[in-house]
Amino acid sequence: MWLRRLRQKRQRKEQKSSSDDDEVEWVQAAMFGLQLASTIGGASGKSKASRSQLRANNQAIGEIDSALGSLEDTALARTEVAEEESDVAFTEGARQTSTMFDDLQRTTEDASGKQGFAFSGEVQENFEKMQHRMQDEFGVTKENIDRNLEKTVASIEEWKMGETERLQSEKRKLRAQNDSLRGTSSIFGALGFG
Amino acid sequence: MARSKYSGSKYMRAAQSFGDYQKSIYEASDFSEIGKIKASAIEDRASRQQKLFGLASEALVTVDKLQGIKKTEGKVEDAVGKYEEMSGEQIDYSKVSLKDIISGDAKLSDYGKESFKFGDQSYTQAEMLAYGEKSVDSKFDKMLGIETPKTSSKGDFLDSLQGSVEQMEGYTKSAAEGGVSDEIRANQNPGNIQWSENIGKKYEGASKGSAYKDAEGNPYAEGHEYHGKHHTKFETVEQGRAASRQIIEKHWEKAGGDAHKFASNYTGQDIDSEEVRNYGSQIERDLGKNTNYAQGWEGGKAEASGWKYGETRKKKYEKTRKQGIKDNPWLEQSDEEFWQEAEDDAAKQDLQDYASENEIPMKDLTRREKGELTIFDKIGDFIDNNKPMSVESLEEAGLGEFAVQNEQELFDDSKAVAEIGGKAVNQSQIDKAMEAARGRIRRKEEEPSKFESTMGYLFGKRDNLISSRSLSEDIFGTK
Repeated sequence: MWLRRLRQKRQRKEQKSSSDDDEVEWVQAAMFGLQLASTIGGASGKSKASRSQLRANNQAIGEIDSALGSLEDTALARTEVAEEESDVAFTEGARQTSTMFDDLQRTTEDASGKQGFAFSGEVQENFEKMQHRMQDEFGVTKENIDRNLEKTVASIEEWKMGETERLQSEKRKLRAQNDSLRGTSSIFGALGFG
Repeated sequence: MARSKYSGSKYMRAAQSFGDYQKSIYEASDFSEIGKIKASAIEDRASRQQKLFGLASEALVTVDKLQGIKKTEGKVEDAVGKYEEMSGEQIDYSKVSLKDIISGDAKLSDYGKESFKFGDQSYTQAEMLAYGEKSVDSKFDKMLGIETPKTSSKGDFLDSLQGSVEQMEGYTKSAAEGGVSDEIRANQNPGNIQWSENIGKKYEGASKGSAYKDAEGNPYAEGHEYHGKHHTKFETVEQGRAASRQIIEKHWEKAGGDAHKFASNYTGQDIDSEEVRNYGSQIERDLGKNTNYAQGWEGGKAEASGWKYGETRKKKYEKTRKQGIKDNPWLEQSDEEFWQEAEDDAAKQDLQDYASENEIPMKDLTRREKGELTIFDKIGDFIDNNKPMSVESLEEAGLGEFAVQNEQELFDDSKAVAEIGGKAVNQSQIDKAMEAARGRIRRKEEEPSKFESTMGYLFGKRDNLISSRSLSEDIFGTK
């Protein structure tokens, strides 16, 4: 009795499973269709994104090339400005020294006149000492101005070289990205054949 | 360059040195970054390819499953055909669709459920499959009505039929055993297929073989039905077998699975002839031994029932295709279509050749082809086949009716009386008249300028034999 029931149960299960299998197979076909649509849709989206990124990267590379082209002019202009500032500083230093020298000479002449001949030798000696000191100070000032100019020009060169390398580096990275993006810029490529 | 004058400066040298250092740093960083970009692209591509492989394998599984569905549908169609034939009931098929659910005619849980109704009995697809597979238990006893039969494939049937044909045609018999084995072996033609231009067209390399010969080994004389007919010489035995298999399959389907009809069709002999009786019996014996003869081959009878999944669409398609081939000659015919057309052409050509050779109007032959025999046709066959001339055979030939005088005459041939042309005659008169007619025919045959053959004579005399009165005069020499 129990054996017959078991057989009936199994039979019902087999019939149901056969019918269910048919449905499952159609569902599987539908799922495959959806998966295919999703894959192709995804590939299409990816290829569009790749093309858009490629366009942006190419634009950026164009801008970098433009920046690299104007870098030399910028450096030159900055150097000229530094040289001009240096000239101004030198001229100003020379004018101040000249004024101080004139003042010293006038003061020395006044002192010689008031104190008489007896002190004129001592005044003259002091005047000469002051004159030498002033000449030495002017020489030091000029050296400082020249050194500062060299430093400034060197820092401009350093900036230019750094910028050039930074921009070249950006350009290399963008180009590498483009190589990768070109592989996925078509649907065929984005599907994995690229 | 204005800055070149500073090139000797230690500050400038330091700056340039620092620039070189920065360049190296940037380059090193770039190599690392570019490497990462490339690695990421490779990984990405590998991942997409993996997805494609996954999709492809999913496609293969899906195709396999769909093929499984088609196979199942084929099995169900087969089972339906067999059940229709067994029960005599027509199928009432239904499947629960989404529309049925929306309209409230069915439950959602029944979506896609199929129902196969025959009369008041309803079965599921699984039951039909089980019936078709014959793997049933007592539940299907009512459906089967008989003990579960074994299945037989079409291939088994054709193998058996081909074996029988090869045996009966003499391919497997020596010449001493009555076969024409040497001839058909030389021609590599196991099915002993008669040559026609269409065979040549269908099978490349097949050619016209030797003429058919009588028992003495001489070509059939003029007037004989095999006169002018030739064997087909195939390039290989395999080609000969393929041709005979196709013809056997066609004849078997045409004969509706009747071995004797098949033998008659295949040999071109009368179904009541001894040759056909032997042929048919041999086929039945072999089929009974090798296959489940009573059941028929798988699918053979199911197709005859006409029910198919989506049959309406298929019929429409076939009609469209037929018209399409007519309208667009570059479309290719199927093998079946080509073969059918070739056979029709060959039959038409044979008929025309025969009519031309025997100077018979085509309309008479067409009429005979349709089985609309006149009394003259029957006389022609009668004498040509040299059947014994008796009252019974005359009646069989439609030459008259017995007018039985009394019961005793039924058992006494000499007293039997036939009514021919309104004149009562007995057997001895008939025998005498026929002997005289044969004598006249022989004389006529000796005068070829006037009559080419017995058949020619009879057809030539057709106008004179138009009435039963003149028939009586001609045969019996009386009015």
